[in-house]
Amino acid sequence: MDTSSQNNLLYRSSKYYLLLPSYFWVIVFFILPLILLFTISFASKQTYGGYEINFHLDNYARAIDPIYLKIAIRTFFYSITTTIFCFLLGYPIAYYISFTDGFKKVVLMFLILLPFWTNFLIRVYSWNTILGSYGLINSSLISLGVIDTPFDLLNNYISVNIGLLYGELPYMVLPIVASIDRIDRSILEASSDLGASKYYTFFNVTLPLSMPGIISGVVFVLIPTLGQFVIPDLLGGNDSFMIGNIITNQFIVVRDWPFGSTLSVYMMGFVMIPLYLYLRYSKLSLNSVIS
Amino acid sequence: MLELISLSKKYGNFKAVNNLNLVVKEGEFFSLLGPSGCGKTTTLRLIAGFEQPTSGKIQLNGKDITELPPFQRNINTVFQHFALFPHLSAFNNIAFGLRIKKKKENEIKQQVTEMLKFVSLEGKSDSLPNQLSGGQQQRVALARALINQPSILLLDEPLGALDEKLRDQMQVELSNLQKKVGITFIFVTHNQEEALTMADRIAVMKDGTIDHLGTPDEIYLKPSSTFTASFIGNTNLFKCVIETKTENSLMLRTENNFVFEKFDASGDNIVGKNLTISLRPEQIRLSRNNPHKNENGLKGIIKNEVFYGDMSIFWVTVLENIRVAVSMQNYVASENVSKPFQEGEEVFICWDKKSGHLITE
Repeated sequence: MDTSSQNNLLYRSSKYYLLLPSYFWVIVFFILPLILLFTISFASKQTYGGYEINFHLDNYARAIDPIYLKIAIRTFFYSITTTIFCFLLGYPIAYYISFTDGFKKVVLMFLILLPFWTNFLIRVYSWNTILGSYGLINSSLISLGVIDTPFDLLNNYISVNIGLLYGELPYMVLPIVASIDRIDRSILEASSDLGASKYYTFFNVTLPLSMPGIISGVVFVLIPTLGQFVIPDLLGGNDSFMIGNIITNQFIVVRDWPFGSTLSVYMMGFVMIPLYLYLRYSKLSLNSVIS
Repeated sequence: MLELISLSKKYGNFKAVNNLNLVVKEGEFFSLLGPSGCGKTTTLRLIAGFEQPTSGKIQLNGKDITELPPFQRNINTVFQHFALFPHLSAFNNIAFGLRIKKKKENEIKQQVTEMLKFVSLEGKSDSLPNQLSGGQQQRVALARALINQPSILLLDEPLGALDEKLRDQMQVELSNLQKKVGITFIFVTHNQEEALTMADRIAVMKDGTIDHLGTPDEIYLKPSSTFTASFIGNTNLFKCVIETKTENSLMLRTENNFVFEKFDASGDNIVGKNLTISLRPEQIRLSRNNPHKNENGLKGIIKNEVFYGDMSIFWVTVLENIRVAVSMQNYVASENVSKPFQEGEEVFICWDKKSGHLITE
């Protein structure tokens, strides 16, 4: 064996040693908890929050109850509407940011990231002071004489949707900004040069070329929304429970870990579908866009 | 016919294009040539409509198009890096302009197929740009522009992204293509060889204005400024003053007091006038013997030879510290390149008294 291949071998193995911390991280914080969760989902509940692992499917059968199905469907519905609104509102914002430059762009990007500097709970809770009966909107409208009795804006379908939209919007905007930034401006000039109006260029060049960003944005919004429980808890009413609330309840209030685990496993299976589609489609579109 | 009338473009205080006047004739292969930052690309972008001039007018066939957006001008562009739509096949790239004009799909199919054949890309209609080679991408870019039958085709350094072998080949292909379609081509380049080989006329640009406008021969043989003389090809420039004058000859004195004769019957020059003489390396020969009767000669030492294969450049030091480039064709009789002169040798540099171009600035 000559020295060069020895060096090469050393180099290759050292590469794996350098990866050890990340393997450790993934195993301890992702894979082990998942195995635990999966195992507990086949256990039965004991008194005082304990459980006995005896490998049966009772929990899985129990989870198909119409009560839970209804909540699952509602969760799905919330996620879809949130994703659609995030896209409709986020794309124009992203487009605008991407086509400004210099200091203004830095400021706009900063404004998008600014909310992350404050605790999520506090930000969500502050919507109470905006939407409540004596909140900003209602008190302004009453003092202006537009209405006599306050609108019911809080603890219902509207407030949950507003909260979800507010919380998830940056995750839609940021990947789309990145993907529009990546479009070579001379391609847009070429389109105009060939006779395309701004409208035509947008729908035939800019929008298709920003598809990777749109797909990332949809995944980044859709999947966390499916597991959301803070917003319905703080801004929702009795009828706006999402599947995330049921799961936290099982673990914290009811202390039925096996059933909570089962619901989590169902959820994960459900989340895998959009994720799988994302990985498949993003690979396709990336291949065709990156040259 | 394209007319640029006192065209200016300022970025802050920087004048990218400065009071430019230019007429490009119909069907002409015109080249804007200059070093980077001379304003040639800005001029092209003004013609295309991507930039608005600070002042001045652009007229196409007598019609003022200064205010028109790019998509309303009958002008198409081949971009420096081609700017093909990465998500569209070669066919759909070429069909882009026709689709906007809402042509019927069977008509589009027929025209695009013809175009693909015209640029010899018949088998590539379904390929995406990143599946095509540089030369093929370039031809798609050309086809995409030409299918719209523009009055003018603008080309922004279209050969810059190609490797050298392919560039030589595309130079020939481009000029043939231009003759075939008969459309006015305006070609921006910093490569003087490209401009000389392809263009009918060249505008050499410097600091946002045209330094010299003319045919390739004129620009090479009779440059109007030392800038153009040294930008196009290699040349030796000597500042001189006219010492004495007869009916068809001048006696010139260089800065280091070398006096030589230059035949000039133009009568434009008066005694005492300062000018610069440009002597191309190929206008000078090396000799071990004294110069002929009709030649000027200077004794010097060969400092080094730069070998280019077919020819060599000899750098000769004359008058103590002046470096003169002399080119010589390499005569290859057998496998051995015969080297007639050696580095360090003492030689005469000789040039005909008719040779050299006088530049007044």
